[in-house]
Amino acid sequence: MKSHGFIDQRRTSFDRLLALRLVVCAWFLAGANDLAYAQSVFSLYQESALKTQILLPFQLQDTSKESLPIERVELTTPSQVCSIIIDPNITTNFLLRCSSADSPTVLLTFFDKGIPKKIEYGPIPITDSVLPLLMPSQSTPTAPSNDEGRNLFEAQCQRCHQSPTDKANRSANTIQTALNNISTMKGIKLSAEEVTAISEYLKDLN
Amino acid sequence: MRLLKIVLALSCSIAAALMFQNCSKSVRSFTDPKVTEQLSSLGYRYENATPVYYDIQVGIAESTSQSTAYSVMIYAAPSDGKLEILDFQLEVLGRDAVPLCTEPNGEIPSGESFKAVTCVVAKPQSIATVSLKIKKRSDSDWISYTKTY
Repeated sequence: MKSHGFIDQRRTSFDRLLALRLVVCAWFLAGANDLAYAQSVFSLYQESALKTQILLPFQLQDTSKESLPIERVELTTPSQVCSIIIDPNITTNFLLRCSSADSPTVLLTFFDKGIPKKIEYGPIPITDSVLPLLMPSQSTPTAPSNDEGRNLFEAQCQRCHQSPTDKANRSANTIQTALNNISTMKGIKLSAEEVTAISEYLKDLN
Repeated sequence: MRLLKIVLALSCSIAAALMFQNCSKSVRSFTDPKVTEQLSSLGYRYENATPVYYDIQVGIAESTSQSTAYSVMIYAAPSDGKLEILDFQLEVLGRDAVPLCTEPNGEIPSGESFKAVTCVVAKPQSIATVSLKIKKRSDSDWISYTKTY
């Protein structure tokens, strides 16, 4: 009887230990998989400034508005137009850039008192600029070129064609043919001199 | 039964241990070529922890036969998320390096992150370079950034 009691006591201890382990496991697993709600993501730019072609900064904050280091950041759905990364110099912030309008949602992983947690943020409404934009040059400025053609390209063509280098070496005839035949270009009214100026500008890009 | 309990306890312990398998993984390194490439493709331009995030875009507001009205758009915000006024100085140059805008300095009010400066340029001149100096009002050092078009 004594020995049976000893075995029962050991079994009871074992059961308690197992139960404790299971509780700890469940706690860890719950902490890892639950989306966090005590923390929030804060756009450092106001919503109206969330535009394409610029690097947009965001910060992870806790309930007392203190920033929290981010362990990992990813887009919830793969995007062809948006990229995301944690600021390597300020790990409480992440940066998002979209080449065209999109509404991405991001998933952040961080540690809260040693427990990994995730937070979802979005959709983030990123819109195109209402104005046609000048495209930044990758090289240093060169000698003055065809400014008239450049201005015309920026005002009339860039909204659709983006970079002028994509249309380098287009002759005046080619441009005029496109203006006459492509439905979306028919509304653009350019004189023969202006078409020639654009063509000269596109030649200058070589 | 005992065996089942042991298996359960073991699998649970393994699951708990797996939770931390990446704990020792280092924070993104600046020297990692993949990270450097990604930063470059994103247009990341900060060598150190910047006090202010900033960017510039130039749009064409209106174009006539005589002139072009540009809108120089400045995006900026303190990187710490605190509310503070940002001061900026703008220099807009044409291809011959002549300043094109007359009143390029200003501020971005606390809590805002956008300012547009209109710059009307007589043709055939056009914007070639935009230089921005920006800082938090409480800081003494300016951050300089130049964008070429």
